[in-house]
Amino acid sequence: MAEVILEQLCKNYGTVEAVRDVNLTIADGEFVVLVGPSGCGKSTTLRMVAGLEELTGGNIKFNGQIVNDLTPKQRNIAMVFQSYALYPHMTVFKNMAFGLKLKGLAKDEIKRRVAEAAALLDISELMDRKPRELSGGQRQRVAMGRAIVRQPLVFLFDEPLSNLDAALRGQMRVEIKRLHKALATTIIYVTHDQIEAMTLADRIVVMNAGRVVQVGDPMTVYNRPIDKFVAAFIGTPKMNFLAARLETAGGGGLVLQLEGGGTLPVPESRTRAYQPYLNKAVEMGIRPDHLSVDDAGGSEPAGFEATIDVVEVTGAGALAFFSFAGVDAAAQCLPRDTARAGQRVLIAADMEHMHLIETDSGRVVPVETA
Amino acid sequence: MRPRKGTIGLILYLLLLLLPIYWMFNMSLRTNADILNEFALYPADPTFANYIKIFTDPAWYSGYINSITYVAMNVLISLSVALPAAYAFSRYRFLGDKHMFFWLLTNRMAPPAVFLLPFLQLYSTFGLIDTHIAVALAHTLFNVPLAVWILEGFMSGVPREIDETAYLDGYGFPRFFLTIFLPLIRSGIGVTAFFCFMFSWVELLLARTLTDTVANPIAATMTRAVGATGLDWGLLAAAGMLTIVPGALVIWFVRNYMAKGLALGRV
Repeated sequence: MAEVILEQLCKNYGTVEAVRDVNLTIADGEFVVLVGPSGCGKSTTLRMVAGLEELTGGNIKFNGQIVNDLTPKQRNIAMVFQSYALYPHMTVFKNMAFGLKLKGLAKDEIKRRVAEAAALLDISELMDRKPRELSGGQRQRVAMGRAIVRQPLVFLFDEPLSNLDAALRGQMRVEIKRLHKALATTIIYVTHDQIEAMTLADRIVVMNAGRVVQVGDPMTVYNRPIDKFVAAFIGTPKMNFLAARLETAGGGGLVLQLEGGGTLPVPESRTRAYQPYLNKAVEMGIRPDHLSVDDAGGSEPAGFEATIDVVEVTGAGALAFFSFAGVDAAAQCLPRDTARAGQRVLIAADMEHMHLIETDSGRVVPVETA
Repeated sequence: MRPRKGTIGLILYLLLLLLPIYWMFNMSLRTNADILNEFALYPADPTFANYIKIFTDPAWYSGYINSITYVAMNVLISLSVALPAAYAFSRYRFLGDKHMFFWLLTNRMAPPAVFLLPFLQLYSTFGLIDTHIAVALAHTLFNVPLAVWILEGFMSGVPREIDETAYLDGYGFPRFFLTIFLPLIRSGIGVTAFFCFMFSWVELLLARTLTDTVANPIAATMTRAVGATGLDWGLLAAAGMLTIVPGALVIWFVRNYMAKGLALGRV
């Protein structure tokens, strides 16, 4: 159990800055997910917390105590790797008991702890097997079991589910979440998969190019991305970005004049925030969930016309892909709309969920929260 | 079931392959007079006299002991030098690591004869001529590079996370290396030992030149079996058979890992 504080954490490899000025306070028992594209410094950050990489600058504190110079062992953390890193020549039991033996725990205590962890992870009947006799999911459970038995201050997960197939990944996600509930230990979890981040995290830390871009709970990061990078990175299908111009409408309100043709009214609540961008080129960010292929076209909704290229059916819904002013975009449609590929349709936008993005900086213009 | 063409071909191939060895075995069980008198496909009157002579005459069996001694020393030295080196190459990046790694292999490009003179002079300066360690050390020049290459391949097959997990578990480096890492690459160590053994066991030029009487290898003893009475055929054949045995034994132990070893652990 520990509160983990990262202060101005930096890591350079020669002249390459892998991690720059990362500041983060992780509360005791919190589940924090570091997410970002590969090479963004998230794994390096995690490894610095583990003590596997030296810091170039900054401090790491566990419960207020600086641990920069402590060995991994002294920090009392447990780490789960993508490659599981089980000792291939030892049985599951030995793999799990190994670290405890080194700690000098009594045999009974070791047995008790391993049995407990095994029961929690449902791997009790695998105790005498070697890692090569286990499936990927079972190996990952053993790796987690090995972490649990150590009763560490902090759990570190380095892309633990990346080697598993999609179905298993979904299942393990739920188990990790359940595990966190049961153990209530601080968890720092690194992934490039934003769905893992969304589903697991108490707080998401989005990183890019060695920096922390945004920190927040999943829904905040999803609904109020701080810039275009976060907006594009979080959420599947990806957010659409359409070039536009902000202009005044007749009644004093604002409208977005899309580059590809079409006029969309900006919600009144945002008029004040967007005023400075009047008559400037901007980008509109809007998720496919909030664009829909309009069927009836009944009451003249806000929208624009586009030609559907492909319709991808997902079961409950479907996504229509189209090209708009040279940009690939997607919108929701109904599964039965498959036949409409190649047709020109009206695409309606739910403007309450739009984001206005500064073209130069990529910053999402903040709006007052309702 | 009729044997297939391929099977017949293979059997034929095997026969041709084994024929010289069989012939040597055949000769080793006959007396000189018998060998020289008549052509025989199998020994009509087998005798173990040749083997008995080798096992009882110190001039002969000490040759085997010498060979085994310096080969064993060489394998031990090569492995203990190559293991840390290979670990460094597989786990760390340092200035010129790639070039150095390749340079190691170039050591094997020169024929042993090239090193004969310098070795001779150096060893006589240090008074090492005609000692087992002299031959063992000379052979490491060829075996260490190969050992590093093979071991590096095997070590790189072990994920780095294993090392890190061990550190997280609280292992210091020496204990990690001995109790976790070495067991993981034990097949690689076996294969490496085999290759070192093979080179050192069959290498004759250096071994013969650097030794005289005390530490001379079995192959050298064999070349000296040519006496005033001519060649002692049966004895030579018996000595040859015994020379094959250790190699065959070692191959038997590492047979499952040979292919991987020949690919320098990179399969």
